Amino acid sequence: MPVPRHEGPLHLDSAQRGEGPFVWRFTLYHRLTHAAVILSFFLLVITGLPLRFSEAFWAGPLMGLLGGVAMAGLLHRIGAVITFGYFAAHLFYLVRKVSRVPDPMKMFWGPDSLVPQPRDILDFWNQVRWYFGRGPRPRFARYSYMEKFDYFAVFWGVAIIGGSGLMLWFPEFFARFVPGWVFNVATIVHADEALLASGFIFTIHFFHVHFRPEKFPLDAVMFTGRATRDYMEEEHPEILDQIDGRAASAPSMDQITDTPAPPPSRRASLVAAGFGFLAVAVGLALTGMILWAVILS
Amino acid sequence: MSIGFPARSAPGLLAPALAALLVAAWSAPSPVSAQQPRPSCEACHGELEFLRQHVATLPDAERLYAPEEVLAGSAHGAMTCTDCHAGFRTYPHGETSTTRSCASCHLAESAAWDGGLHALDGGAGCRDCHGTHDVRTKAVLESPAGARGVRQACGSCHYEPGAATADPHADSVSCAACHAPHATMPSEDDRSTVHPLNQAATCGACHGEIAAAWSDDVHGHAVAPLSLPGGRIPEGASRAEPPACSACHGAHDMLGPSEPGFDSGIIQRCAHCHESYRESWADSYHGQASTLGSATVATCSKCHGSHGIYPASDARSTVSADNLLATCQQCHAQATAGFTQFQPHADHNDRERYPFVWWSYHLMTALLLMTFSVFGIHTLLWVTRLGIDALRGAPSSAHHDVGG
Repeated sequence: MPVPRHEGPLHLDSAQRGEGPFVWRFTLYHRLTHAAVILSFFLLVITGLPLRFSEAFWAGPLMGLLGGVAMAGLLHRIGAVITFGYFAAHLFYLVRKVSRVPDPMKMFWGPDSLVPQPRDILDFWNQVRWYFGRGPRPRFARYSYMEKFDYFAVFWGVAIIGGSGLMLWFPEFFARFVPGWVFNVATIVHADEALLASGFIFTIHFFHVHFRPEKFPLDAVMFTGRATRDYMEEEHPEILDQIDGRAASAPSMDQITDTPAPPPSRRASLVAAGFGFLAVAVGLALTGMILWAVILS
Repeated sequence: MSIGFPARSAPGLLAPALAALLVAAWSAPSPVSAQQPRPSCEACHGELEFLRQHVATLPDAERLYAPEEVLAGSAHGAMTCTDCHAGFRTYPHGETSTTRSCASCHLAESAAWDGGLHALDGGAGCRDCHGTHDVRTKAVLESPAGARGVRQACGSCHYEPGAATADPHADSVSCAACHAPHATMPSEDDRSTVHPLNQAATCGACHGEIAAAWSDDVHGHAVAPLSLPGGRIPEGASRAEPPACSACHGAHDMLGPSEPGFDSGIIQRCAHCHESYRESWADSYHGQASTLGSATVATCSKCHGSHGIYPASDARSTVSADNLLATCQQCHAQATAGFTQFQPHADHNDRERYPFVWWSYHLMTALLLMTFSVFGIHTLLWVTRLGIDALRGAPSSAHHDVGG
């Protein structure tokens, strides 16, 4: 089967760096889930942030733009429903995957797994050694320890923020089972964990995925689903070795991943880049607003 | 041309003006015939044009202008010119002609005025408020139209830009209704009708039920015997400014309870004495949403009431142990007893009173600081490494050289 050549790379997208060929890194389900995470997350942050910093100069105008406190509350709850939706869908996906793949243990251990393992500690240690010029960069497997952290951050973030949010959404119901001061605690946990999540995504995640020099200005692999071998060589060399050594009869767990991919069309690349840049710009603007409010409060 | 209210009467200037008029009237052609020894006052003083021709300036002419219909429509309508201007019976007017003072009839008002602020130099005399020939009665002054007139009269000295237009009193209540019109005192003087000690009586003249409820509540008791149970007053409050009507409602910038901004204005005024409670409330969803314009969330008065505010230890209080659930249920219809254990004024720095809130706030803050520190340093080191490599021109960011 001829490997499709990368004809017109969009150089803005660092996942299209170098020459082809492309391989699939994320399935359509992964990409749709991530898009749902982005959209619901922005909806939640934009509608929640003015409450958290209600005395900041931008809080009133932003609330006005959203149509007032009641409308913002409705939008926030719509964001919550989307969040619970993709969370439930992901749990369903995981169960289904465990029951279908030939070797489910690979999901929980080894170079394909998202589960943190000793090699991540080693990778982290080597990364620090590299910072101080004491060794080469670690060779990451399918997911670097940073990516694993991002993945589980969404897991516990949805659990903690979603759980506390549900309590604040239906206080009268939950007050039948827990004392009222739990809502005081839920308010603090909800707001601060959300601040942690948005601050983390808009600075650390953005740096790691988009801003560090190898990836600047954008890495759209999560939107197009594919990356060049050059990209994989630099970001996930370990798994690339496996891909090359793997027999065609033993496909990866998500069927399509690791198989040769046609290059994304110019149009798809531009849409992906536009979406990515918009998300980054909104995230940075929100970070500026948070910093302004935190520093001046 | 109407007779305005001269803001300052200057009797000292009137005599030379009259003298000038006399001379002028005598020597110039006039509607007064020489054959009439006792012309009517109206013949000269009812003709502005004539007066204008015989005195130096228009204001002088206006001061002398007193047509009969103006007098007839005034409180003094039954009187004649010479009842006041007794010395002007003869014509031509004698050189020592006199005008009787208002006090010669209105003794009590005059005595009250004497002890008030307006009797001071640069104050205001009878005519500044009541007019001269168009003299207005109490009933006229207190009617809505009269109230506007009084407001204009007072406003010529006591002008407050922008004040009072949205005030529900603006078009119906005259200045004099609250500020004793004759014995006018500075509001800091405890004899003033608008001193906090006297506001319940003054405002209560119209708002009787409210004043009675207030007199009995925690704020009323702070004013009347100037002592609370235990002698405790909130931080920020002062004995010198006890919380009477104006402490919460203001004076000239009052808003009706249905006006937008009424609640937020009241909150600021509550905070004048109860700032720590405003701060802890502002940290809660109630306060955040209210700050951003929600009119449905809990504010001070929605939970604590307004004119019947009692300490939580008092059985009559809206937040007493027995009443709290019903108070919460005003908005949270399905609230149960456990619900009332919510702390609407929790202070995350008060470990003694709110241990759970203190712990969750401090643990969350520690979690944020730790996470951002670890990943912040991780990120900064990454940038530094790549920067150093770029400066050296070494492609060490790639790892092709290692086992690739």
